[in-house]
Amino acid sequence: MKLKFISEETLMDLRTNYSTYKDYYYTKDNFWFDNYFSEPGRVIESKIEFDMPELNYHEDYSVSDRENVKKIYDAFKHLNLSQATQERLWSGLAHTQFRDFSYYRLKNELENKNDTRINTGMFFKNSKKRSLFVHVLARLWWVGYMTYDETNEKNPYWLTEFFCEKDFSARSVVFFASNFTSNRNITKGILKTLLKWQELGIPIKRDHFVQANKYLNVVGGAMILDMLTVEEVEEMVDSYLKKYYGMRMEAIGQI
Amino acid sequence: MKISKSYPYPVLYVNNDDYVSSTFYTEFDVQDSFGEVKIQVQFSLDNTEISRLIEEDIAVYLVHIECGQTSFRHAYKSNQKVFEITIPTENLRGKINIHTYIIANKRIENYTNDNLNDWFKDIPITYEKGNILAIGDAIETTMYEDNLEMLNLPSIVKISKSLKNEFMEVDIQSDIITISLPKYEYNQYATNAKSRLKNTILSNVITPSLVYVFSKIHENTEDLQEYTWYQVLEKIFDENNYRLEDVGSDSLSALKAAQLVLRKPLKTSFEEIEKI
Repeated sequence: MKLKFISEETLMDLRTNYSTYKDYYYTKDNFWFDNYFSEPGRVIESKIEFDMPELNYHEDYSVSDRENVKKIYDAFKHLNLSQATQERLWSGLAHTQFRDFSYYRLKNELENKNDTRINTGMFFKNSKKRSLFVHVLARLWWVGYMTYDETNEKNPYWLTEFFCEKDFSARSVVFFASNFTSNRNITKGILKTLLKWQELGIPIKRDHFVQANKYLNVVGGAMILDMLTVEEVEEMVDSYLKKYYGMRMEAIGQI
Repeated sequence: MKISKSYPYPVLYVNNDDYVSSTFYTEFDVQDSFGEVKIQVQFSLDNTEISRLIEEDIAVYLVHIECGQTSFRHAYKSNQKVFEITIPTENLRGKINIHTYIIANKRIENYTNDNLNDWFKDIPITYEKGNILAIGDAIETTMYEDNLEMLNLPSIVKISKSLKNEFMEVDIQSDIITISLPKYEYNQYATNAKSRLKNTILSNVITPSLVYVFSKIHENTEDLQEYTWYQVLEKIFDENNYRLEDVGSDSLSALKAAQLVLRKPLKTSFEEIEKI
């Protein structure tokens, strides 16, 4: 099927008049939404083809988020970066072709009338980069894009699966808020280290991500991190975290 | 990427005096055509020892390109003084920062250089791979999605109808500044927008909105810079020999800035009224 955008005017109307329309969101009023989007000029059909993915609606978001990152990224892998940063595209999809998913992922927020989260979930209400990792659909694509490892032919999503295991919402924002995680070599290097730690039986918490980022932030002041290979980043982060968490080398000598 | 001012090792940089009688600078040529951005970089280096390190592949020239919006971030290495980088335009959007360096391609121990400032004489110097030997020029450029559309003020301001609000509101957290008017006001605006008082009506709405925008410009500036309206305003100010970042200072108040951008809207309004 063809991917649908919404027009700039429609986007502005939805954003501006959210307080007028919010009851339709709370009550999941498909009749109203269908009617609204059927007006001429509201929805624009693009030339971009895609196969509608069957998203996962598991009651536990930590299960569904992980699966849905893969499904959304698989379905929209052919979007280019400039397209994938557009609010009209993601907000459009969240309101039209993926509206059921938006209802599902914002279930509690809709029930509790949490307008702030409904807004950041359906629109780009934070800074440009942050919005990409906060919007209910955009963040699935972007986490997929950032963690996809084409060098692993058997399972290019092995780092994605690790990243999405738990704490998905917070991790996405915390981890990708740094500028250097835009470089996928750096992202992969950090994730590979943390995954290795987890395989050794160390439970990975948010602090591990924060510390790895903090360290690279400091080092990044004196060197160009972007010229490092994945392996070099891995080695640096690994030895720093060992020091930081005060582990004796023997204890993890197996590495 | 923010450039640090101090490093734990000597760096050849125009803004410090770690070296004497040495220079490193870069010239750029950026062309956007047929879906590709071509960045040609030409390095000029005057320092014998660093030149030798580059010839021996121990150090390299490096161009760092970053686009915050699309999370594009790459470093390109070369040992040639002139080289060209081609990036598909679709990978870039909004502001792009290009920095140039000479960096250690491998660990360099017991580094010496005849042109080092005396300060560094007799101090053992080691560069790790990725450490910076020299910092060249940097530029910032902006990629517009559609050049025809994005270059004037009306295209970055949209006026929309608010079904609930009683007061005019302005939303700046988006590529386009959206001014929402209460229902009655919007309808009046829409009906009379082409009347003999069109400029009066327009400035009635846009002037206070722009004053509001300019009053917010120093809050989270980094985030706002990503938006098209900010980039367009920045360009308008540049072209008129003002600086957007000066708005709000004593020399350029938000009120004056709004009137500058709108080319004396009060005068235009009274001229219109006079003719009635």
